[in-house]
Amino acid sequence: MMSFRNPSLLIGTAAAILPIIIYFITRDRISVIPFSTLRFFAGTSASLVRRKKWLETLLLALRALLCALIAIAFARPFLQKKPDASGKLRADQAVVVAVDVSQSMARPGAWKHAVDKADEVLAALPGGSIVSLIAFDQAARTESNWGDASQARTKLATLQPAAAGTDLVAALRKADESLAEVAADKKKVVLVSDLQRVGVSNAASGWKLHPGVALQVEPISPDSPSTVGIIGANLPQSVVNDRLPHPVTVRIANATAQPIKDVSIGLALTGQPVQSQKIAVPANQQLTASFRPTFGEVGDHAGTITLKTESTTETLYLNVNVLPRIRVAMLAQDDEARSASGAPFFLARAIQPAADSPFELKVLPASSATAADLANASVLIVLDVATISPELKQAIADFHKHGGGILLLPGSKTQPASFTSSFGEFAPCQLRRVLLASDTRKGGAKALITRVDLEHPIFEIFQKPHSGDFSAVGIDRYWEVTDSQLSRVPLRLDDGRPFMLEKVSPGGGSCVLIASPPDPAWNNFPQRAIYLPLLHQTLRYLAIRGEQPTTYQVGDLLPLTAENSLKDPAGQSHKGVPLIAAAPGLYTMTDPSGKTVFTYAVNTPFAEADTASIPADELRASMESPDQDDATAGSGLVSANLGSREFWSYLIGVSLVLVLVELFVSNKVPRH
Amino acid sequence: MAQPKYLNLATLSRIGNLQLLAKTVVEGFVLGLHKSPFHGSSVEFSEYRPYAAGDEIKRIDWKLFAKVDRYYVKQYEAETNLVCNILLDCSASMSYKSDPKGLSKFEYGCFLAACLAHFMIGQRDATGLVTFDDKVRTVIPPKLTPTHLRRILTELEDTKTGEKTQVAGAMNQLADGLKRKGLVVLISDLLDDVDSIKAALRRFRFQGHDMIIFHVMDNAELTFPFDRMMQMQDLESGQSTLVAPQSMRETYMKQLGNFLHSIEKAAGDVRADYKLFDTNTPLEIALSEYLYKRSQLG
Repeated sequence: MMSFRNPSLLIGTAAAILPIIIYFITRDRISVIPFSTLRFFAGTSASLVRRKKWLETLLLALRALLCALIAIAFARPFLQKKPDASGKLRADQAVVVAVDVSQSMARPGAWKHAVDKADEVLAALPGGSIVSLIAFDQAARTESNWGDASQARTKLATLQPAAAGTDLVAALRKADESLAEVAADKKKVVLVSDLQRVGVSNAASGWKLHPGVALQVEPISPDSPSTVGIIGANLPQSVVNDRLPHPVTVRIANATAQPIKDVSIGLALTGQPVQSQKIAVPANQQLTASFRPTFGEVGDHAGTITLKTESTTETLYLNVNVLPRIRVAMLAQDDEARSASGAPFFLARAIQPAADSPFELKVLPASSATAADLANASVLIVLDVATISPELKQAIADFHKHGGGILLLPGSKTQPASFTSSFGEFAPCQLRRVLLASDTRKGGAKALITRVDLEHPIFEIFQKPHSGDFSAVGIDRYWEVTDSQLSRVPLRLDDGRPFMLEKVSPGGGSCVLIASPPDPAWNNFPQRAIYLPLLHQTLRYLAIRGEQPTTYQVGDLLPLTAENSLKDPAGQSHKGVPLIAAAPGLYTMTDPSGKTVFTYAVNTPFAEADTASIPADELRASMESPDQDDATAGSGLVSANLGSREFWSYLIGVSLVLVLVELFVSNKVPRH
Repeated sequence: MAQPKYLNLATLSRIGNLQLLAKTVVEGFVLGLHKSPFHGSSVEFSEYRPYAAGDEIKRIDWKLFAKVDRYYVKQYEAETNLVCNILLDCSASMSYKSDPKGLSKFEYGCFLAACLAHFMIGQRDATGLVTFDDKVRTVIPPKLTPTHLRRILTELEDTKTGEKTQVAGAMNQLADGLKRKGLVVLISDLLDDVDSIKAALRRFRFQGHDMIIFHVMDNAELTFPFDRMMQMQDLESGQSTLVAPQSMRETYMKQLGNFLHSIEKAAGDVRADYKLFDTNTPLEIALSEYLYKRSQLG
């Protein structure tokens, strides 16, 4: 719909009649001249007159249109989007009311306060205001597009808090975009929220509301302050059937100023209590509660972690998928495949030291290995292979593409060019040359591992102090690598060169390269205590990384194959398409025969339990543009200008074209 | 101070008396010629006339001189050896004049006819006058008496322009009435069908008449000097049309040229003398043309 910034100037369109008036005033006075005969004008006069009249009419129309266009351009037209039912896209004031419907708003009293406050704001809006209602949790949705306050109030009454997290910035962005669609002298965002600080943690640096958009913050508090809640958890999703206890940890926070005792927290698996404990959480502090359950059988182990206080109960859902033994395929040169020494020996002994090892090793000679050999493997170790056949190369690439983990251990037989040719597609780096530590270090010292990325999942077990001495590893020879810019480097040597590198392919598996194989001729790694856990962790990581995640958050998309169906916690079955998790709980996937094939555990975002809030002034200061006050008065003008500038510039352009056409036509009109 | 070669038409037009105008023109012209008028040798007395320079002295009637103390010469009927008919177009188109202070084609034609009549009668040629538009309006048969000249001049003064031109029709009508062979002087703008005009001229020629055609056009008709758009109204049909002179001049001049060429060619075909006059052309030129033709006829 077209509107005008200066509609009063539209009176100028009356100037369109000026050319007509001027024409009649100044047109040639056609005097009647008696003449002896008209015989010498035969045939020319009529056509000339017709042409002249047509051209003069065209000229008049062009000039009138030109005047009208110029007048319209001065009225500064701009296009508005199609109006809603009320048709009020232009108003004195445009207000977006953003209401927080996240999980935290379900706390006692919070939602009622929020609705009352939003309703109060809507009721107090002066006439001529247009309102848009936005509901937001970790995403923002327009519930009521631009209209009057009563429409928004009606919609507000139907809202309910969800189980999702909070993203205040997403709400403000959405509100800002909505305000950009309308022209108003005043623009304002009213934020009704409990203002969780975690809601602004992912704010894009420097993003602010547009100049001229004011932010009014209405903080909401529950009737009773939060006591304790689970604000984080480390839940295993896939483990190998090693019959060992696996850590399950949850982080609990006390947001009150009083210590809370008798907090009961318990773990239950497949409906049976496994472990429980009572803890006391100091005031305004966090602590971690740990369980170490053993997951027995292969398959899903769904369960809950329940936190109980005197006033609240909070449940966390988990599902641990116990995998069978990890099948490891080791590709080695033919002469070393069955070697009783060197790297093959140390790898074989470490991976499968006994029959009940969680790993199952299969050694493949490089010359005879086929794609079928890789079919059942979870992890492939490529140990110092000089060359491989094109078929095997393709088989390895396909293995990796389908999520298989690969551990590359280049050795003395490895050729950099051949390595790049065979594994360059997914390898985290290229090889340059073999370096001798003694050449670059004083006194023939060995190279040492000096930097460890303990944040990497492989090294989680080494995070505790004294749980891994990497400095004990002495390295005599190692490959110098290049082109590793896109790879993660969990281990570095004392000279800064990468020792362990990882590259994860989008949609594919992970590939880890260790620059020195576990061979006494290269290093003393196999003889150190760190060797076995590091190798096992690496193989576990590579094997499990390709497994289907079992734990999600509300709002995530739950994978679902076409033939299976998914039952949500409310018991409703969904089939065919992936489902957006709307509520926390256990979602079970069943095949057409009704057999459960997988279980998803869905939780409310942990951060939602962190009710620490950001002060309203701080939020306003960080989100409003600095020139707020100056820009407020002219916000509508700015908005209208942005919309109209382009439009009336088109009108000026058309006018110029009309001037040219007018000049052309006027030169064609027979004057005398 | 040198005498102007021709009398100024604008000055002449201010002479209200057509007779005086004709006399002024003709006498001035004759003085310039230094030549006596033609005369006959008949024995049948016709009338006395005042002696005029160039007359032979032996023809002076001395007896009458003794009585009235003035010189008179005798005129005889046989001296009228040429019959001359002046055909004047008085159609509406002849009333056109581009300059409000100037002469219309009809006024110019009247002057021309008056001068010719005065001069012809002075030359002892019997002169008649026919006015016509789409038909013959007035016929004054050729005579040689002094009162006849007055009659012709009076008729010219009284004649007003009238209806459409139909030169051919009027000439055909006249051809039947002009029994005696002689000179036919046609004064017209000839705005008629050229083929019809040519047929009529051929008819005159067939009957033994010699012809002089004074084609009178206004200067504006010949040069089309207009520069502003105007509504032109046909003086004869009353129809009007919008004219853009700058755009139409080329077409006009081309068609006019074709018309004049056709007229001249038609005159040549019948061996008629053709002279195109615009209304600014001195009248003496017409008299010269007449004298030239008269000398050819003997």
